[in-house]
Amino acid sequence: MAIIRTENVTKGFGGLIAVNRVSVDIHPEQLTSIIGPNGAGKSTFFNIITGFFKPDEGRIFFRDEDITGLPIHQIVRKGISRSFQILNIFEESTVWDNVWVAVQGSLGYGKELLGRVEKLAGVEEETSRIIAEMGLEYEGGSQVKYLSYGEKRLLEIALALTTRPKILLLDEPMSGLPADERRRISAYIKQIAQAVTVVVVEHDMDVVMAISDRILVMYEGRILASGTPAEVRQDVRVQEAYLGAMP
Amino acid sequence: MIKSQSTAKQRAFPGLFRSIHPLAVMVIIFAAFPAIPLIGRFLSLGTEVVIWSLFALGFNILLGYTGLTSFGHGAYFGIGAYGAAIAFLRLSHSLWLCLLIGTLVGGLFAALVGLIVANKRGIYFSLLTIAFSQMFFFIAFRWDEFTGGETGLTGIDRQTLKLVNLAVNLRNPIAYYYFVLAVFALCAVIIWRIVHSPFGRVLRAIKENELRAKYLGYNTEAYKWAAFTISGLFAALGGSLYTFLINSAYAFGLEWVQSGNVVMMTLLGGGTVSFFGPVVGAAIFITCRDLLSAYFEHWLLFYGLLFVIVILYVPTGILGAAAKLRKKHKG
Repeated sequence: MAIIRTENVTKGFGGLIAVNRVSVDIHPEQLTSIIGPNGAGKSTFFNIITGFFKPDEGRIFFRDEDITGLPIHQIVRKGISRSFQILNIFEESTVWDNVWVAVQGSLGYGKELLGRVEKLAGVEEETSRIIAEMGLEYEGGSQVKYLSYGEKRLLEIALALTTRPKILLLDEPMSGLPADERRRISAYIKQIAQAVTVVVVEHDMDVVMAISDRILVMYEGRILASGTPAEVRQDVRVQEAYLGAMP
Repeated sequence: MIKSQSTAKQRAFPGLFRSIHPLAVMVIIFAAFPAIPLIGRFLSLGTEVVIWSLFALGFNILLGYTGLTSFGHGAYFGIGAYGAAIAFLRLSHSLWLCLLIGTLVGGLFAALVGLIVANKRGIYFSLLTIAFSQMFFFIAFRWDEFTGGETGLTGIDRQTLKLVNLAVNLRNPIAYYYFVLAVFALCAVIIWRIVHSPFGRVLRAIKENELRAKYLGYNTEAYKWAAFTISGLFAALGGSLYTFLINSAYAFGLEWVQSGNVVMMTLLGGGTVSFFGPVVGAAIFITCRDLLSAYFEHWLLFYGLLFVIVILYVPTGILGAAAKLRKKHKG
């Protein structure tokens, strides 16, 4: 059973059809990458799956349950989480507070109007664990805006993971990162993919080819091809439209 | 690990008061007010300051902690005032009951408006709050039979309050001042607890990045509605207390000017960076209003200028600027 299934999903903005009748199955326990040139509709497709946009047409299913048009928080609670192309974290807060508020929600807290934060069972321990796992234990009290870009990316992925997703969608996680940070993040993504289904939109072909089990190629709002990295690399249509001749 | 548990206690009152909870310091300062030479005899002014401090503290749950700028909360202050007045004139002379009815009626209106505006953002949110407040104002202004229209409702009287074996004559301005201060102190504790609770943490997350808060699984619209309603309840309680201060209720209490005043107080004092900002803002605003209006016919001109200066040069308000200075001084 596919973890995510879309049927003829279409989304337009004015006269532009950004996503055009896309039907795909995302299989669990696979790391799937979506590639394609700028404007191919990759991020819009992500935004539709995660509830940021409602599709004009088509349906989205999560484990065979129709989730089309559900509000974002309900989609997240079902087990779909994401990161963004442009960093989306609590920039003015500390690392500790970023993770705390995420963990608090994941453990079902947040409605306690007069409760004490220090009395929430398990939140402090879980927050500490996640920060340590990211290797940011010495940055816990630092404001996020003072972290390196790579650390912020790491934090964003960690925030997305605190919701305990069944599937994690990462929108250009390598964007703007230097080579050493790319290695760190791609290793982290591979580690996550051991436990969670991961879908990545990414332009860095070295990373995509190295980490993916399956690749979907989007072009002008449609799915142009799909397959293993080797299959996609050899696909003539993909080479013409996006990759060019690859060695 | 370095955590960031904020020590608001230390930030708010350095030095001598460091070991005392800042809420207690605030209440002690207010409690000492009647004993202060010269200004202490202006008890009505002092009571007004405490009432507006309560209104502004509650309002700051919405503005300072959730990041939503309502220009219509004066309406709930005014509806609370009318609710208490109508309850007194038509139902019961019990102060407790009148305050309860005024608060609940104002809070109910806030809850209903909140349902409509909670999913709106930015300018659309602010404009809708003004629109509702003006609508309520015109209804109150025109509905003579119920609200007294232009002349308002008069004849409200503060009765003797019976507390176990103690009878307190609230007609005495000092007694009413301390009664209002006691209500304020209780509300300040509740508001403190709210903004420092798990719920308050979510509000701050929404203020900083609502989209991320949604993607953490929080139903942000429900939280914004709750913040709107809670702040409306405190506004209405403030209005109810105000009715018993001036022994009347007027439609002008609902006007957009009142809504603008509470925004100004909150920003002036530094509500966006400090829990106590609204109280400082309310104290300065009300006191200056009385002083300026005594000497200058066009005193509102100064207020407009003050608003411009605060927005342009001290956007974090007085307490924000003070904190910056202190930080700079410490090096």
